[in-house]
Amino acid sequence: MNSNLVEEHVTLICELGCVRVSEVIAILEQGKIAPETDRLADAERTQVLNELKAIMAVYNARKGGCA
Amino acid sequence: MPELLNSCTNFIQSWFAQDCLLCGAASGAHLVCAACHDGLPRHASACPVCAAPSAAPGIAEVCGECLQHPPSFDRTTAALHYTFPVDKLIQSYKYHHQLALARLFGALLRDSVREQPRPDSILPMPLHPMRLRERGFNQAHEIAKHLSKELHLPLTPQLARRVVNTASQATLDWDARKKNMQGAFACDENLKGQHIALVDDVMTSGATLNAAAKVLKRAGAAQVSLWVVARALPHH
Repeated sequence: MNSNLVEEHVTLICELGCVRVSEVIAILEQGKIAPETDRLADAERTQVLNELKAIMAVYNARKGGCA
Repeated sequence: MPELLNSCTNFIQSWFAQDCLLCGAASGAHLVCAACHDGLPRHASACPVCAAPSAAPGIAEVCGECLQHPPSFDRTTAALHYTFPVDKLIQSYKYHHQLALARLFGALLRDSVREQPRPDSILPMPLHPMRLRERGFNQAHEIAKHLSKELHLPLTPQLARRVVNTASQATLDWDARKKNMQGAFACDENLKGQHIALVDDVMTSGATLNAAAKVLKRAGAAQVSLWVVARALPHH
């Protein structure tokens, strides 16, 4: 697994803002491929999903949430 | 009776009449004329956490930087963009002792925070005693005084102290600003469960405000909201 590629994708997806991050998480959780992750292998995509969920957990726990 | 009141008001306004600080037109009893006031660049569609402008116009969502590196503060409200002519007004206020502008800034900020969660108290960004002696006043404290009065919230400058007289942030690049603020603030109070609104004039990188918010959170604060008059655009 290319961890640099995973990190790069997490950064790029985060740059799209929390609404899109939530959408990408939902797509990946359904086992589908979000366009932002189509260059990744399955294991890398799973790692991106885990990292995005960890990032969003911080905001879901806060008052005010994502937006 | 109304006629008498109007006459008195007209007399007072003519007695204290002044020129607009921005365009020089007659502005009555105000520092800035109505047209310039209405034309001030309002801050909208921003990240609710750091108030950086949103990538997608009209959508206020948490930005990429806050997603990847969550700051110690919970939300930021900025009244204005730190751009012309707001930069000129703030420079006049801070460096040319136009202290009367604190009332205008306080009013603009009051209107911006009306819909925000109400804090338990207002803390003006602490200034190091050396800097306070040089400048003669704490610009954040003057604005916070107006907010405290108008929003009926306690003003609590004693909650935190600036213990290191850091180099001016304006001279440093983005990364150096974070390092410059390490250990700059102290808080000896127990703030368990409290919501503190931290007030400042300008937010640029957010490093100074984040360092202060970190100290407040460490002292037990449940929430820290930043209330700033103007938000500078972050450099990428």
